[in-house]
Amino acid sequence: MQAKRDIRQDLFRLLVLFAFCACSFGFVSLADQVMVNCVLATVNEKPVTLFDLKVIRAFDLISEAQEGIYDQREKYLEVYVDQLLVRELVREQLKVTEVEIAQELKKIKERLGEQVFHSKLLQLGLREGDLKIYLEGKILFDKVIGSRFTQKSYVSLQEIEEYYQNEYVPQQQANGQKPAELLHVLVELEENLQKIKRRKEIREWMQELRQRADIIVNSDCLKKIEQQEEK
Amino acid sequence: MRKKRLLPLPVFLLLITAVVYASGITVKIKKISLVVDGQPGEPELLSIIGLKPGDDFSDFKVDQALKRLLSTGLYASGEVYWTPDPQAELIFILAKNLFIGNLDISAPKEIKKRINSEILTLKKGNIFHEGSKEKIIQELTRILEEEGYYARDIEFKVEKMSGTDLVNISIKIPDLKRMRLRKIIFSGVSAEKELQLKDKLGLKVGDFYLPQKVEKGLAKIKKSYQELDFKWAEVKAQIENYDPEQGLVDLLIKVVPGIRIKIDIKGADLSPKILERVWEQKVFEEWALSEGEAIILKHLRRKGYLFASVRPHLNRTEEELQAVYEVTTGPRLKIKPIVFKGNLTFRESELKKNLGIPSKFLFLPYLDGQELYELIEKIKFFYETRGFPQTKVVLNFIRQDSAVKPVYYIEEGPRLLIKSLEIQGAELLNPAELMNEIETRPGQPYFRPELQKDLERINLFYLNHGFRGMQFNLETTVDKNNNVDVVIRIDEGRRYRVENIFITGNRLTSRRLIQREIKLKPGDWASYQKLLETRRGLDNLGVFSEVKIEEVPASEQTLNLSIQLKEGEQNFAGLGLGIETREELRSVVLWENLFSPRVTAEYIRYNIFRNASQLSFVGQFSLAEKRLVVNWQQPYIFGLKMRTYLSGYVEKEDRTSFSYERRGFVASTRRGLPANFSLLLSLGTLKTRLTNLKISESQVERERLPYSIAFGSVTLIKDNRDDSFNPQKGYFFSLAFERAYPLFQTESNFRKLFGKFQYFYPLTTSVNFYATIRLGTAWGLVPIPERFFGGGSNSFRGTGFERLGPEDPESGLPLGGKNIFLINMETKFLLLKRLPNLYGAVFYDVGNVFAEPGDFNFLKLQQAVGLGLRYRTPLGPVRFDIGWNLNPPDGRWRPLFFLSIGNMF
Repeated sequence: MQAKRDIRQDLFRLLVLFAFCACSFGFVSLADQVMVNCVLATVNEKPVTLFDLKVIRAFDLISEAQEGIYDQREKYLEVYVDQLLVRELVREQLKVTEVEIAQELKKIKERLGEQVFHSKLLQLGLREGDLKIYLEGKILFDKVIGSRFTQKSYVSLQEIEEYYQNEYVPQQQANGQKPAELLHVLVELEENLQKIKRRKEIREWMQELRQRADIIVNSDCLKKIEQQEEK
Repeated sequence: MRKKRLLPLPVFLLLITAVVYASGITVKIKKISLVVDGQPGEPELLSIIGLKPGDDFSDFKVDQALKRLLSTGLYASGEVYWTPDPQAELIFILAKNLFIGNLDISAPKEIKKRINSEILTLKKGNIFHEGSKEKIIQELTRILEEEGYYARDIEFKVEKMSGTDLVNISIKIPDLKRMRLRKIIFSGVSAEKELQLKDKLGLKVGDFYLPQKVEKGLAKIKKSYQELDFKWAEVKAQIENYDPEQGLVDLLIKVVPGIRIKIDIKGADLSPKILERVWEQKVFEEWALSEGEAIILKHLRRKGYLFASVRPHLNRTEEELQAVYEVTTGPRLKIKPIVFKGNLTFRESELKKNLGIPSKFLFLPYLDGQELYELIEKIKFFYETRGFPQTKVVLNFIRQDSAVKPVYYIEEGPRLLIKSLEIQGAELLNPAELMNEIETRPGQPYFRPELQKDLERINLFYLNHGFRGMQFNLETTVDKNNNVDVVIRIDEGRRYRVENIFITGNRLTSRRLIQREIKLKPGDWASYQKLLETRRGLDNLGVFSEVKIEEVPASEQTLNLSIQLKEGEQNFAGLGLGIETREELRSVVLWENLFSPRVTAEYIRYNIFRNASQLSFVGQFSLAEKRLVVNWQQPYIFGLKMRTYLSGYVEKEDRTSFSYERRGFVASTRRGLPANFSLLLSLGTLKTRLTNLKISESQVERERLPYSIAFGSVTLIKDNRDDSFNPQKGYFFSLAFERAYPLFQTESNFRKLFGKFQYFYPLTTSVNFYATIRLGTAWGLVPIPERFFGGGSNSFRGTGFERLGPEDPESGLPLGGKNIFLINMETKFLLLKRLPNLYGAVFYDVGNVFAEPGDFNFLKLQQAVGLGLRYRTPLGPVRFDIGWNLNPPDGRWRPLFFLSIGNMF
């Protein structure tokens, strides 16, 4: 008899405990109405959503992404908007083939690894084919930038010297390192300068495109996401 | 012991719960809600999003749903919230687009003009985003600076009109001032030159900075350098050191003269000016040399120097570049009719007709030397279109003293003919139907562009059946006998039905009216043809300045239509000034003729009662006539698509034999019929009072004054002309029947039938033939203003205005008649190739006006012949005619002169 009573007591306690757990999870769920998507910007009347940025970030689809670009949502939103503008500009003239898309996908899989790639797809509710539109934008952007802005801009010796004095030497000193002689770092500095020039030309061109475009950024949406993330 | 055995169980259950919760096993959506501007959204919006309760929750699907909602054009922004289990609710929160209702800009005229043309988002009826405010202010600041203004502040106020989706925008620039020039600096010029250039610039320190004046000054400076042969001179201005507090700015003018360029043409009497446009831009020098050579050769060949040659070269020094063209003109030769040799497949006449080669006739323009050379490529192209891809053409000349006979030697080459034509891949549509759409058939010559046109026809066929995303490929194989097998491979894409139709942007126009014009309904196949008809119908309402129709995929088999409209201005006012004459010209000196001024004023109010109706007031005033018309127009009547007009008018006109005052009311409607016909129906009543009667009273029904008529008329029209203002080809037909019945105490009782047929035919590329036949007859009591009159520049060019037909025996003035018969024939020809709008004409008019239908007699028809000049303008030709009546009543042949604007035909 006592044993039966004990079992019944245990079962009852178990039930209460289970109910409590279930309710706790449920209670948490009730309180958390989460914003899962919003329109961050419109570019020539085409919406850019929070989900688009999630995909861009998850698969690193920003061309020539600089370090730390994904640290701030506004930064990679701006770059993604640039990509969209270029895509709209050349859409009629340039086409992206299935082969190019497949190659780009392959590169991403190699970079992330198959498992990570598929788990990211699963997390976002995507199939491989759904990435096509994002890849198309990146490939078109790369094509246009590649053909319009040559890798090697001309850099004069004077510019290298100035860069050496004004940037390289202070940077090395700030890092507690002894700056190497100019002759030893000439090639490296020239390459850096070429990259900087190229980026500047791209930025100037993008600014021109932006001026002609109708871009509206929804700062409300950005604020709400940040507030949600802080919670 | 039992207690201990039970202990692992709760832990195990907890673990299970945690695992289930964290595993991310797909969650089902239980509920979907839509909130628009704080209110529950319309239920049909749920059909757009492509998600329903029971579906799995997925970030991607939610994103697609949000984008579909936004693509309707109804919403400015959207957010999506998810409440996890147990609610599992998805909430879409949307904000509707706001439209600009009123736009009030307080700024000078030139600023407003630039805002209108450059800031496209700032227009009445456009969508307004709060986020675009900053960009608009930036644009405005830029425009102000470029126009030489500065302002401390721009007030941009946006006020939402409650209960609507409209905003009123007001832009004020309270402290607007013009910038002044503090300094003018020239760079790239010497000090003494600077003085000259400052003079040309036309501005000095202290003047207002006026960008247009600066531009003019820069153009003058550039021109002065170009006149000194510095053809590549660059002159640019920029403003510097802008001081917004003081409103001062420095103007820096940079001058880069570049190298001096001299053009020298030797061996021919040609001005270097003909090559200036080649060298005035900075161009690749070798290109400019060969371009110059081509221009000189063209010039000489046109003048008959068929064997001219040019040797161009450059001489360069430090300061100067000399472009030298050494020309050998050869003899100037006349061109005899051309001859073809080797044309086995096509006769010479066929070639000439297809290539537009006129026959040499008298003084009429024939081919010039340049055209002879250009004909080579035209012949090759003609053969290519007929299946000969490898035709060779060589032009030779046979010299005959000071003339040449051009001979084209044609080597036709093999001909490709289509042996078989097959369509593959058509599964959802019948291949036989597709074959009916294309024009190419086996046995025809092979010409790829024609097959491309067939692909476009098939593409359109698929689009009209609701397909989208089709792809077509053309595959051809040629065998050793030059027979071509053609296969058209089709990837049919997807076929879509219309799921929903959304309309935005209509503030005034009623939804019902818009829906009447929509040719598709939910469930229909998404026919492209019907989409076009919808757009045309909405455009023809005359109330929208923009109609945009977008297709938004809703699912794999359906799409939604988003119709975005922008309503135009509601008011229009216009004023016209001109001169008129009804008399034939008395003198070739224009001001010695009888012209009188004419003024037309009109005001139109559109979209009254929100149903695209319009009300207009038109006034026409001249010495000979005064008219005031009030007109009401609406696109539908009793639910039928028939544009209906209600007009009331008061007019006064001086005619040759009488003057009259008239009041009338007419209701008419027009309906399009199949095969390009249209029907015009009218009912009306008129009251006419004759004044200033110049003919004897016995010739009018005196006891019937004033005349009043109640009438109904039916007119059938078919217009098959290629252009209504300057027709070259086609025909026009109209047949009108009018019945005036004694109703509402009116006295009239007559019937009138009038038919007109016009024919336009191009005889060659520069010669056109026109003919018109007019026949009218009336029975019953026909008051004088309703009779037929003829004579003058638009009917019979052998008499003065209205002078054809019976005349009053006492005054000799025309009486008109109940019967009219007229035939006009004219041949128009180009006079000089250099003046492509000037034509000559010869004409022949025959006809008469008869008092009664029974008086008609072919032997009593009058005839007139004459010559004329025509000058073509976009609104029709200006005509000058000289006509001679071949049957003059007084037996004296004398010319009559007519000057008029507009077509007779």
